[in-house]
Amino acid sequence: MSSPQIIGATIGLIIGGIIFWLIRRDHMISRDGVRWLFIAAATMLYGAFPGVNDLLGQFLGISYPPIIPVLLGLGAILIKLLIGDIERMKTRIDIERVVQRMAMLEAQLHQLKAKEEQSSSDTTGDANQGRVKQSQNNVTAIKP
Amino acid sequence: MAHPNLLVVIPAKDEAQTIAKLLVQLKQNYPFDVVVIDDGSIDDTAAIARAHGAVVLPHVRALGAWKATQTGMRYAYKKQYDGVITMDADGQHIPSQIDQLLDGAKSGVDVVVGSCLSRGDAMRHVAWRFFRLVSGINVKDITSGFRLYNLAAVRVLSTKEATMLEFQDLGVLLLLRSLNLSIKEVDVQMDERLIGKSRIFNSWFSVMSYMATTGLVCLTKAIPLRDVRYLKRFY
Repeated sequence: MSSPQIIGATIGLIIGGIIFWLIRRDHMISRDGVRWLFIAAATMLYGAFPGVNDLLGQFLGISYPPIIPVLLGLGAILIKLLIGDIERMKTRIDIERVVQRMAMLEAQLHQLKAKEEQSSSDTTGDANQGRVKQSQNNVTAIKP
Repeated sequence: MAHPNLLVVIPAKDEAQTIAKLLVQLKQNYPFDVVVIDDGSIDDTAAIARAHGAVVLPHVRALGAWKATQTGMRYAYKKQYDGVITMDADGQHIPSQIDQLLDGAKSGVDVVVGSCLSRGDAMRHVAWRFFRLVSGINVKDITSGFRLYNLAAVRVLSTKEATMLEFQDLGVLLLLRSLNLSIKEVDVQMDERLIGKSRIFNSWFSVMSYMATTGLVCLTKAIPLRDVRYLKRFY
């Protein structure tokens, strides 16, 4: 195995190791980890067996096979960006709907508070009225 | 179509100078409940609206006029109103013109759009014509926010799919069309905006952005979707 092959395979291994560590430490969810581990494995195999590249180039009719991994990498990045955009949009929609729901709940809370204040002031009013009546009775009782 | 229990939905952002007059006029002339969606105002819009008897739905951050309107729609749907009238808070829409919307709804349509073609410059009219041509929607004043929606339309516009729209314009109408809801346009009078300026037509950049966004919506939705899996999301 030549030096570039060892370096290529090592890069794949390091990526795999980092992904493993990220999942282990809960920095990445396992669903995303599977995708990244697949990429790490592909990098490792591609580095270890560069002849695959020439075979693939021959099969696809590409006269300069080293461009294949570059093209694949760019394609993968574009797809990843697209997926990222879709997920960001979904998150944005969820946040906006939560903001809307919060607005509705806040209005409900405001109405309930107003109702509560109204009923408590009514109760206080009744109690005060009762006290006034009682004291009037007392006054009447004292009067000869 | 009778509308005994309609909700007037008013999205508002920093409209403290105009909202009071609008709410007083509405209260004096119509028996409808009014909800004001405070879309992240930094002035007294919410306090003034509450003081005038409106229910205020406060957004913790500004989401834009359409999302604010949708908050009102969701509220109306939750509270079982029969329909919604949407109005701007900037003094452009005249409360007495609600009668025209109510008359338009008598024929049993799902949505009535209050149209005022005398507003807007030549460029805006060219844009409207272009979008109408591409989308096949037969509404002349596509950006009018003075509309009446019945319960079926409110239900559709309360969904997550409608949250993905950016403006209360063609996207809303195209969505309603794909669900076979009927749309009618009636002529109404509108005043000049008293304060502020249009959020869509306020700079060349926003005009270009609006044209691109709405143009794309027109192109992608020009042929109504008939996919059952898609339509099921609304029922």
